[in-house]
Parts: sequence; C-alpha cells; structure tokens
Amino acid sequence: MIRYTDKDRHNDFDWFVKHYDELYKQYGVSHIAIRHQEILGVFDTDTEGIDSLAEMYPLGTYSLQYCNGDESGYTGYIYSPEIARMVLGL
Amino acid sequence: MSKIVTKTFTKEYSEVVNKLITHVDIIGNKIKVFHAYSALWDTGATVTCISKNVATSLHLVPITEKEATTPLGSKNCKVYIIDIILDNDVRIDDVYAYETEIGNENIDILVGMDVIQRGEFVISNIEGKTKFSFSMPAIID
Repeated sequence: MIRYTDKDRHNDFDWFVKHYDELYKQYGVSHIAIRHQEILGVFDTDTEGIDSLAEMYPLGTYSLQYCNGDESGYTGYIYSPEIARMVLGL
Repeated sequence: MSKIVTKTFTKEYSEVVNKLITHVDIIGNKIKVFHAYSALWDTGATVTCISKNVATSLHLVPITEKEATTPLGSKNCKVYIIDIILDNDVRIDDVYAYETEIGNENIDILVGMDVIQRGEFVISNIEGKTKFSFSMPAIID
C-alpha cells in the first residue's frame, strides 16, 4: 500500500507554492502531479493526470496541482465575511 | 446520433429569501449517489466547498491541497473531486470541493462560481416569492 499522509500533501503544497514561478516558466499552464517534492508528471488536464498515474499511484497518493501563472491556480476566494466565518469555523 | 439539450433545475420559495439553499445529490469517487445534501449557492465564492462530515461520510480521497482566502483569514484545505446532481438530472461533473467548516452551520456544500459559471443562473423576486433556476447543456444519446 502506498502511503501518503496529510502532512506529505501539505509539504507538497508548500513545495509547489515555493517553486510556482519556475514551474510555470518551465511547463506553462498545466496540471502537475507531485509526490514528496518530486514531479510525477505534467499534464494538460487533471483527468489525463489521474488516468495516466492510476496504475502506479492511486488517487490520494500524490498531490495534483493546477499551475496557471498566478495564485488563483492554488487559491479559492471567499468574498463574503459571513461565508468566510462559516468556512473558517469562527 | 447525439444531441445537445438544455436541462433546467428550478427552485421556488414561498417568500423572498436572502439565501439560496437547495438540496443536491453528490457523487463521490465516481461510485455512488448520495441524496439530499443541503447546498448554499454563493456568487461571492470562486470555489465550491464541502463540510468535513460530507467528506468523511462519502469516504472521499483528497486529490490535493489548496488555500482558501477570505476577508477573515486564510486556511489550507484538502480538496476532493465530486459530481453534483440537481433535480431534473442537471449534473455538474468534476467539481473541486474544498473541505471546510461549513458543516457547523448545517450547510453541507457551498456551491461557488466554479459551478455557477458552467451554466445559466437566473434569480427573480416577483409577487413576494424568490425563484431561481440553473440550466446546463447536456448531451443526450
């Protein structure tokens, strides 16, 4: 069984954000599969990535990130303070 | 020969409301349909969110982690892929859903602009009643 913990996923997210600009420069708009700070593959669509990796890496054993050159690739925005309170559990 | 038709989900309330809350079905991991989750529609969110309870009960597998940014602060969230089904077979596939704390407010899913922008979203308030509809094209064999 391939192990991939929440901490692993979080570390890969941090790594992705840290290297975001250089990844965009190298791969352009893309979906990048990352596991333990290593790139498993770069894909045009998320579906292509999931299908291509399925045999060796089941869903949940890596992090699939969208790279589009700005922070909206890895950020969702909640504009209403009331909804923000709900989302954050405040 | 396949043809494209438009399917429409409509919700009519008995009064004018300030929150659009409907019930939706959710498919997790492309396997099962789960019924009647409470959904709040929000044009002020760029992404869709689900409660921890939904993620746990559907045994969803996180595909990645992303950041939710709000006026009150930011939070890193596990993100899952789900399909959402409305009445009248209006189906929205491959939605990225951020796991958040919305379950504390008895909301199971917050439907954001990533979903709303895929179809035609119409709201009217006539004769003291709110009516809202969401239409999407669908391919019929």
